[in-house]
Amino acid sequence: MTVLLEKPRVETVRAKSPDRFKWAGTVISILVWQLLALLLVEGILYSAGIGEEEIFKLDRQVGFVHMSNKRITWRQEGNGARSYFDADGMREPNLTVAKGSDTYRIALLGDSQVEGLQVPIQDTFGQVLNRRLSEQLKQQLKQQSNAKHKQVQVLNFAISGYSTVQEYLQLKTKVFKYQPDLVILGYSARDLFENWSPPDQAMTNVRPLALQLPGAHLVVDSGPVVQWMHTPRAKFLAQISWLREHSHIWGLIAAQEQQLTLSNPSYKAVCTFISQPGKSIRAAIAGIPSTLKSFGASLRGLRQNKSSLPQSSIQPNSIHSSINPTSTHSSSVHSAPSAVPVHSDVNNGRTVQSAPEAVASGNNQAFDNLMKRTMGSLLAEMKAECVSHNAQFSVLVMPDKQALCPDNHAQQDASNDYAREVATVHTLCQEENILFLDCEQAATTLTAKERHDLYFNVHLTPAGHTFVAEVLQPFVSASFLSRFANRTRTWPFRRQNGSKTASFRYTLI
Amino acid sequence: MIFSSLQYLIFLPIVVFAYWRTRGGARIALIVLASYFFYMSWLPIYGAFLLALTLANWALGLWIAKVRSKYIFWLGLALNLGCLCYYKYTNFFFTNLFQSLDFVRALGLFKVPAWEAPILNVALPLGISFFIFEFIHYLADVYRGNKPIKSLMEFSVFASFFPSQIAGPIKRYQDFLEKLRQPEPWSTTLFFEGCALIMQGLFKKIAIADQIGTLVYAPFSQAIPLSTADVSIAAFAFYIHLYCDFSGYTDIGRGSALLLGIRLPINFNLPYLALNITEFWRRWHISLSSWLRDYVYIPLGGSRGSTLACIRNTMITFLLCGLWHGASWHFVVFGGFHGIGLVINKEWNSLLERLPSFQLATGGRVGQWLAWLTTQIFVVVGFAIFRVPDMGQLTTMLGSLANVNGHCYLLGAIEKLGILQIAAVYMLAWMLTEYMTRKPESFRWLRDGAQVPPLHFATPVRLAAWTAACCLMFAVKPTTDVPFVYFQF
Repeated sequence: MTVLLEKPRVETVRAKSPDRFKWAGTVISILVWQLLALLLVEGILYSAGIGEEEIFKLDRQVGFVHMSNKRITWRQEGNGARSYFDADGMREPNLTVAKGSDTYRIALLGDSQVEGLQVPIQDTFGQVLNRRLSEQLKQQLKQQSNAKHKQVQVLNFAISGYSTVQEYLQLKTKVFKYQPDLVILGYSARDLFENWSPPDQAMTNVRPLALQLPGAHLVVDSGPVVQWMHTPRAKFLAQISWLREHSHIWGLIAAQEQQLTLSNPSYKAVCTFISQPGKSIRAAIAGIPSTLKSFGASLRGLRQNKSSLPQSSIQPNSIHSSINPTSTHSSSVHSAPSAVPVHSDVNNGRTVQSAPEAVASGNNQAFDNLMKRTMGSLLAEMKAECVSHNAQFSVLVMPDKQALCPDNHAQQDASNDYAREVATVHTLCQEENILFLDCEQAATTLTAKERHDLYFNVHLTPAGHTFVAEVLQPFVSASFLSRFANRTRTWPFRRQNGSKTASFRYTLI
Repeated sequence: MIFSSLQYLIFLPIVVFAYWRTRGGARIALIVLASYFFYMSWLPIYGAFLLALTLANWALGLWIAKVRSKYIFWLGLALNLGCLCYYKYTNFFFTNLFQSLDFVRALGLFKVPAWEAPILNVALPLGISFFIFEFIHYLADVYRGNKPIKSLMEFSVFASFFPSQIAGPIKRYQDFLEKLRQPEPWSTTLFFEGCALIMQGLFKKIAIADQIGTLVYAPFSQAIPLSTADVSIAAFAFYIHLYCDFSGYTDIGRGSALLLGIRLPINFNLPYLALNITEFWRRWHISLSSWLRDYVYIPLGGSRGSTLACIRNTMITFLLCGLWHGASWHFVVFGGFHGIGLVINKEWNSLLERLPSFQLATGGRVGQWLAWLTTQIFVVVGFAIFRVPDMGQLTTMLGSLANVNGHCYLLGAIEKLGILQIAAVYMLAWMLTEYMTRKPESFRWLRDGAQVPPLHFATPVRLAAWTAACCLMFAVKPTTDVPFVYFQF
């Protein structure tokens, strides 16, 4: 009887044991199949060149740089131009760091307007200029007897979203190892005001700051970048760096997320709350009185003069909030010096904290003067660096679509703002004895249709790049290249002396 | 609310959940409510229009069944066609009438006063062509002796069923009512089948049709210099676009209905594999072609009578088919073009019957390939006529066909879209499923077991396919929702 009772029990156990682990088999099967599906999608996206717009990696000093050895297909604007960033993040094919003695190298610095990801590299104005100058040089040398073969090489170092301070740091850390003979800095709209901008969720807004207070030296501070790299978002991005570099599916998600970050304030607020909940709540509570105050002020019509200000991303109000210890943006600017104590020898005891305070206590003119002074110092510094590396330096003002083709009143205002910015930069260049070329001015001679044809939505079309190259060619040729063509033995150029800012020092945090 | 929008993807699960939680009259009321919500999300006022027509047709159906009077039937027909003509053809009629008067005035034969054509500024109620045809079918069948729908709620579901409301398939009420009263029971098989249809439709719409649509827009709508290659690519692109768009819509509609346990009739049966134009219309928009056959072609006399009468009936049916698609002459030309194609095909078939040796020569594999190619080129040309905004653009495009050496700008656009890779994957998946259907013994490891139907994939395989489809749709999804082509009809 006992045997009869026990027998079925054993069978039951035996029968149940495979079922007990059946779910595990199903889960493994699902995971394997999901992995296969994702690999299939990756393959399709790779062959179609979709999801290849994740192009930046974090850099402690400059903020962000191009990824290395990365294939990209830029679909956000233009016709899906394909490019490849080499190990050093450069797009030019077969580029070597070492320069031949018979080569004249031109380095282009700037932001997305100069970078031109919207068109293939051979259609960017740098490469068009390269071809044109090479041809011109060839013709010139043909006329000279005993002339050695010489060539021109234009290297595009521009990176989307870069401010002048980032270009300055890039010049020091990367550009000079390519031994350029001429450095051209592309100036685009708002560059004047981007040298001091608080970082936010977007990686392309993480920038070092540059400031020069009255009576003080220029301060270049990578503190905001370092601070940002300690945020949960930055840590997360660092953790998934392999995925960011290689996955097309991640590329799609990142592009979508970037769109949301740029266009959706609610999403931005949620992200800030998730990453720093305590800080967000404190900032929101702290912001209530100022919100009420500004609301009351707007009701009383006390903010009438605000419209006369340049539409910069940093307004005096934002500066004021950025020095407020309770503000969400304050940490990057406010706490940077305490994190890295460096500027004692150059600032004569003045600290970075005092800069925004000084500005905030003044008026809009003080802000403009601060930005102008900072830009002037940066330009002077760049020129001095170039001179010390046997290179020449000039500034190129890029044509801006909103300024050239304004569709409405707001864009008309932006156009006036850009004109003011260009005038300021022009004055600064004159003061620093820097050669200056205004492509914006040249573009105003075109008809309305021709101006429209220069652009996709915001950036230059191949026609736009050709136009810039056409404007740039005689300028480079007359100002710089003629000496190179006529020189037969001595190399490099004679170092230029007499720079007003040659003894100027900077602080790099 | 369109099927490929986020709103619909929220709306549908709520309705499905509520549907299976209710029974009997509450369930019917729920579908009516959901259908009207769906319809009125576009323009609320036309909910009242649909409701009024529903009430009128329901009452007319009961009246016809009671008194069997042809006058009542004609009254119902006039009411429905009157509504259709008012909203769809008034402007077309007046514009052409006044253009004719202008022409007569220009000839100087009669004294005609100069009038300006009145323009009716009303939006076309969404799906009017489809539900009017359903009402006509209902009244005609009741008049022929079929039982009417006594329940107003059931009739309302038939009239406004949201999965087929906007662009078909055009339902037959007898079949629909049977399925409504006895829906298929809820099961995972039903769920997976419905979801698979929705996923397939979404993929066709978002990943293929919306992508190809960007190639079609400029050549068909703008006065830009085109080359022979551009015109050919644009015409072929629209041929693919229209199928993926319309059959994608039908798949989503049928999938949605299936989640409610109701199996709607198929509307497409691989039309691009048709070997002649008659077969094409048996495979393309099946519910419309069968409606035209039953309610226009056969009442006109069908294929009975002389050859001339048969040709007349065919041409009338297809001219009406063209006009049904839209109030424009190019739609009439489209209908006429297909009518001529059908007549030629019929004559060709009768010629082959008279010449058996010739039939043998053309019936081989090469002959079949040639037949397929000829048919599909005919269809491509027909759809190009369908797509042009007016006859002027058609002339421009035909003129561009001579520009053999012109620059083809569409090639760059194709490369940018990455559509070729996605279409290739879809074709491979389709060929695999076709192969598995024909040879059930193959690829057993992809299925749940040997005894299940050929396309009953194992759950992990099914989920993986959905993941891949969702990723690809996400990859190429346009920033704004693109409406379906047949929404304008």
